[in-house]
Amino acid sequence: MTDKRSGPPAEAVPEGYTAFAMREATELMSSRNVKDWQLEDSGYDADGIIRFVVRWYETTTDRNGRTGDVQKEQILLYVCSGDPAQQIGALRVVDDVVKAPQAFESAQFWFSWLTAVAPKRITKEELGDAIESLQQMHTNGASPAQLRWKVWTTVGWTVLNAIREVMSAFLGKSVSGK
Amino acid sequence: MHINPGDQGRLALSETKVHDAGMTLLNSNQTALLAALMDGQQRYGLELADRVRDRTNGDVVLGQGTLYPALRALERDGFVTSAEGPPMPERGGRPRVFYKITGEGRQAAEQQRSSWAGLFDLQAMPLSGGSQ
Repeated sequence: MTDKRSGPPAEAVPEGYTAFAMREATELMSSRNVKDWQLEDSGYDADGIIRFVVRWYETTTDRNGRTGDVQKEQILLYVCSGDPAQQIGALRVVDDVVKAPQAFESAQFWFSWLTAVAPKRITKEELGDAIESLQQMHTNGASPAQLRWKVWTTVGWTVLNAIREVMSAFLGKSVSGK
Repeated sequence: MHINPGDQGRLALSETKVHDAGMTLLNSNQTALLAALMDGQQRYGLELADRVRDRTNGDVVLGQGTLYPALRALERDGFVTSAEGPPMPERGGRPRVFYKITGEGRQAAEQQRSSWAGLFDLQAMPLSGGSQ
C-alpha cells in the first residue's frame, strides 16, 4: 500500500486520511462480503478530496459453468470541505474515475443529448436520478452489460415521459400516471 | 371520470374513489407513493422507489416509466408538492427534486387505506351471507 501525500497535510483531517480510507474501504468490502482486498493507494488532494483505490478479487462463474477469479478495482472519492471533522464522508462523490466503464461514457453522451432536447424538469429529475442509480449499480458490482441496459432504458423512458409531458400540456389533461 | 356516490362498490379494483368532492382516482402506483410519503418527510424519486420496494419486500417495484408520471400526476392533482434541491456534482450538476405530501394527499391516502381495508373486511363475512 502506498501513501501519496499532496496538498494540505494529513493533520487537516483529524484522524488522517489513510485511516479514513482504510475504514471506508473495510466497510465497503464488508458490505460486499469480499475478503481478499487491498487498499492500493490513498491520497489527499489540494482541492480537499480524499481519494483511494481498493482492489479485490471476485470469483465468477461464466455461462459454461467455469469459475475463475476476476480482479476488480474501484477508485473512491470523498469531498472534505469546511470543517473536515464534520464533513468527511458526508459528501460522497462518485467512484470509478480511471476505469470508468464504457457505459458511463455512453450515459454522458446520451444524457447530454437528452438534456438539450427534453423538458428541463425531466432532465433534472429523471437523468439525475438515473446517474445516481448507475453509480449505485456500479458500486454494487453491476456488470457493464447491466449498466448499458440501464443507460438505454433510461434514454427510452425519458423520451417517452417527455412526449407524455408535452402531450399532457398540449391536451390540458393527464395522459400519464393514471 | 365521474362516479356517482352509489357506484362506489362497483368500481374496478384498480381504481378506487378517494375524494368525495373531486372524485379523483388514484391508481396503485400513486397510492404506493403517497403511502411512502405519509411520514411527512421530503423524498426524491429514486429514494421513493427504494422505499416502496423495501416496504413491500420487493413486491412493488416502480420503474422510471411508472414512477415519474405517477409523481407528476400526484403533483398536478395537488396531493404532493415538489421542490428542487441544490445542484449536485455527482448528478452531473442536476438537483434532486423532492416531494412532500400535502394535506389533501394525506386525506386521499387515508381514504384509500380505509377503502381497501373495507374491501378486505368483506373476506371476513360468511360466504353464505355474502353472495349477491
